[in-house]
This record gives sequence, C-alpha cells and structure tokens, in this order.
Amino acid sequence: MKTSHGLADKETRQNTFLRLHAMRVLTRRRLIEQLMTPATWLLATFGLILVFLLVQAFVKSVDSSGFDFSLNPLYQIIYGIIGSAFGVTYVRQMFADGPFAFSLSVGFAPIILYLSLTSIQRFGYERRSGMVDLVAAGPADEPAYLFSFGAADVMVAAAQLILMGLFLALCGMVWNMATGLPVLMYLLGLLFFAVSLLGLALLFGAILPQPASALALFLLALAILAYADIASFTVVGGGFRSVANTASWALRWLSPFYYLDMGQMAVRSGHGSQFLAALFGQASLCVAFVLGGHMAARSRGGR
Amino acid sequence: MSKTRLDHDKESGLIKTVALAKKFGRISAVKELSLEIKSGEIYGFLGPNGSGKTTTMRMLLGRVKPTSGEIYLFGERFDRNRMSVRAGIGFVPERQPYGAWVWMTGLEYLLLFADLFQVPQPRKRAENLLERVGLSDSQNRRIGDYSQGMLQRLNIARALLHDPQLLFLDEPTGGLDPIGIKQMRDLILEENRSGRTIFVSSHLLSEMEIICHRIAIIYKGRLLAEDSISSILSRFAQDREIQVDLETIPADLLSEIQALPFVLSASLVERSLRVRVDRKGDHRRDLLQRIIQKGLVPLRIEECDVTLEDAFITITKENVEQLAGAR
Repeated sequence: MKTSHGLADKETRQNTFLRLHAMRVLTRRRLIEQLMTPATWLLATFGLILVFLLVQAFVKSVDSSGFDFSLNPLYQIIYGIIGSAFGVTYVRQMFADGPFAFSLSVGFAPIILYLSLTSIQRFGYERRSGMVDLVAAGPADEPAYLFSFGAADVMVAAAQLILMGLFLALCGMVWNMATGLPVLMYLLGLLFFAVSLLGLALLFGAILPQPASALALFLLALAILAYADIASFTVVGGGFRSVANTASWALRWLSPFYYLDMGQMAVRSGHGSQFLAALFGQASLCVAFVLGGHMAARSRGGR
Repeated sequence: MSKTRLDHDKESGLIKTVALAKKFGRISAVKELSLEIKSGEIYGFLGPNGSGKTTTMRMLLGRVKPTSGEIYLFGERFDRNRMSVRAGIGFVPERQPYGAWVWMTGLEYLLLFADLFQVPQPRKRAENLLERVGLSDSQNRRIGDYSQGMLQRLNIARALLHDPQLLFLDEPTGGLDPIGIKQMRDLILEENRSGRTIFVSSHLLSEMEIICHRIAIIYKGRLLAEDSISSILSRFAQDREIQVDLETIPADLLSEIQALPFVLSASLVERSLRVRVDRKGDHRRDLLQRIIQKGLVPLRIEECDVTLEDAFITITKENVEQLAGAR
C-alpha cells in the first residue's frame, strides 16, 4: 500500500514537472510572438507618451498656491469628466499626492487591454486551428497551453510597468518631483491588477470556444465590473439602496477595478494594511479566475 | 522524457479498446468498439467520412473522454493525465494547424517540440529528421511559406522527434500529390521496419491495401470487420471482375452478356467489356466462348483481383441493408 502510494506520488511529481516544463517552453514561445508584434511596441510607446503628457500637464498646472485644474486645458477636461461623475472631492483626492496614480493607470490601460484581448483571440484561434490539440496530444495539456499565454502577458505587463516606473523617475528628476515609495506601490498595485485582469481573460478564453464571442463577453464583463466599481463612489441618499446599487455593491468584490482603486486610496491615505488587503483581493480574484479557466480547459480538452 | 519506454508484453496489444463508446448528446459517434493493435504492426483504421475514425483516434490520444468503455495503451489502462505515457506516442494530424506558429522556421518549429519533449541533442535530431523527410534545404524558411506537402512532411518529422513507440497518422496522404503520397508510403513502411507500431486512419483504401498488415472497418461508429487484408478480401469480396478488350463492340453485346446466368453485371468502358461474375467457378472460358460465337476477336482477357475497395463496399453495403432492415 505504502509502495503504491509512493509510486503515485512520484507519478504526480513527474506530471507536475512535465506540465511546468511544457508551460515554460510555451510561455517563451508566446513571449517571442508578443515581442515580434509591432502593436506591442506601439502600445507600450503610446503608454509612455500618455504618462509623459499627463505628468507634463500636471507640472504646468501647479503655481505658487499649489495644483490648479484650470491652469491647463488637459486637466480642465479630466476635471470636468471625473468631477461631474464622482464629485470634486474625489478628483482632488485623486491628485492629492501628484499625477502618478492617474497617469500610470491611464498609461498602462492600452497595453493591458491589448494583451488581454489578443490572448483571448489568439488562444481561441490556435484552438480552432488544431494547434492546441497537436500540443496537448503530446507533451503538454490544454491548461498548460492556456496558462502560457497568461504567463507571457504578465511578463510583458511587468516590463511595461518597469519602463513606466523608470520613465517617471526620470521625469521626477527633470521636473524636480518626488517619486518614491508611493510610485513603487502604485506600480505594484497595477501589476496585481494586470494579473487578475489577465486571469479573467484566460477564464473567458477557456470557457468560450469562439474567439469572437469570448472577446465580446470579456469586454461586456469589463464594462460591468468597471461600472460596479464606479457605482460604489456614487452617493446614495438616506441609507436607501436601489436594486442596481445593491447589485453593483455586491459585484464590486469581483472587480479588479475595485481593488485597484482600494489600493491607490490606501497609498494616498498611508494605510499599509488596506494596501495589502487590496493586493490580497487581486491575488484571490486571479486564483479564482485561473482555477475556473483550468477547470474549463480541462473539461474542454477531454470532452 | 524522450527516453521513456513503457514495458509491455509484446504478444499483448499495444493498443486495446474494450467496448469503447462516445456519445455527443444523443448522437452515438462510436459504439462498443473493441480493437487490438499488436506491437510492430501497421494497423489501418478505415471508414467513410463521419464514421467515427477521428473521434476514436482522439479518444486514444486522450483528447476526447469516452462515454464508456476502456482503453489500454502499452499494456496499461490509459489515463490521459499521465504525461509520461504521451512520450511513447507520436501524432500526425490530417493537416498542419492553419495559421498557427507560422513565423517559425521549420528548424525552430522542430526545436520547440524537441524542447517540449526534452529530446537529447535536439538540433542534431531535428536536422537529421528534416533531411530524412527532404526538408533540409527549407529548414530555415518560415513554415508560413511551406506548401501543403512540405507541412505534412514537417508534421511527420515532428511526430518522430521523440522516437515514439506508437505513431498515430490521421489521413497522412491528404493534400499530397502522387510523388508526395509515394514518399509518405515509403516513410511509413520504413518507420514500421524500424519497429514502430503505426495506427493509420484513412479512407484511401488503395493506399491502405498496400501498407497495412491488418485493418479495421468502421461504419457509423460500429466496427464491421477487423482482420488481415487477405482474410478481409477472401471473406468479403463476393464477386470478381473479368475484363475483355475487343476490336469491335456490337450494340447487342452488352444485353447478351448480361443475360448469361453467372453474370451479375456488365459494363463497357471504351473497347473494354467489364463483367462481374460470382465467385463460384472460373467463368472465363464460358464468357470467351460466347464472345467467339458472336464472331468477335478478344485482344486480351484478364480476371482482376478483388480490391479492398470492393470488400469495403460489400461490407458497408451489407451493413446499410442490415440497418435498413432493422428499422
């Protein structure tokens, strides 16, 4: 009995090792594919340009009395849009410690959206073309193939965040702005946000066989989750919650946007434990999404 | 991983299925399929399109979970989660997945699979195989620029990279020109001579007749026959064909020949008379007498061998009639 258990353990360890090896090889392949695509570089550059423009405009909006939205047309627009939705207090709070959280989030948005959408599309395409079958009939299985997409995307996202961090540090030196621990924490928060968003993309890629349906439903889910987060900032009078508000309140716990906001607010207010809770929330979401994706890929792989 | 050899009794089946079945909703794709493929043989899995060949192969590869029944590979019950078993299997799909990984060169493609299978000395192995399949001149070209035939040869090289004991081929000659078909046939025979067991699924009966030791005929998910080619031919080919080339063909010849008691059917192809007769006795003499009586000069007479195609048609026709009768 003990021997058979020992053999089973050895077999399980060997299986795990082979799956991890396959995932590593497939991740390298996907990473090369992403880096060979001009769109990756264009969007990474576009993100850096956005960061530059937002920080530069912020510097121009500061006078002897401090930060003033009316001094720069770009910030007038931002103030108009965000302020009308969430109120003046929220916007002022957002820029209380400088332009970093906002500019990093905006600069990161194009690449993370691109990575998640292309992974869903590409995985669906490769599955339909028969490549997933070909690899999964041999040295890997479908979850390993799927997760290689996620792992490669996380690497690209992390590289973009490092670039943005270095770029901000450079801007800080040029314009004499303090970029220290808060910027690092914002970057960390964004990395965790990327991980959970890419986990969600994997889930949709695994569940839906048609790439077009997967993309459409992923975008819909993003819109709903973003709405759930945004709705949590709206003022509800007299303690009364409408059905929509209650639904969005419940849904926000499943929203990577909510934990991103939570983490950024924690950095601004200096609450370390709240920041860690936000990271934990993102990590938990990611684990849930990835487990869901794993189960879907396994069941699809062995219909 | 590539060095893994799963020990099993040589006499027992390398692949064995017991009452294997697969249902997709209410549709039965494969019904109670029991096969046994012995080590070292080329086993042909024949059937028309939609007969359940690919579903069966996908079950054997672990890509489709059977609804019921059992699969044994290398003498052990097949567990699709056992990654080590996969090292003993090579798989060539009908065609190279379209549009995927096309930015790689042929050599890069093989090196990636060699890395996945942890093949020792991967570059040497990949280059050797590319040379064997005649792609060494194109090994640094992007596979997106390969022709269908080149992709099929690349697929074979990929499937052989890790030196598997068992090779699954799904319609290996699909999309190949006659030279490509011959090269593929030679490669299959050569691989088999080197000890590899080959499971080949196809509906190209003439090719299967040349290369397979044993065949199984599947129709509407059900196994109709499984035996050596010669046994199948003798059991299922119920009639034979006599071909007579004539100088001239009078208008009433066909009706007169068709009226002969031993003739099942007759047809004319240019100046050749083709007569299907039953298998009881040699009817060449009777047929010739009739032709000479009519004052015709036979230029050539030949009794054609029964082909696998004839046997296949007989088997499937019988089955259709049985199915129709059962309704």
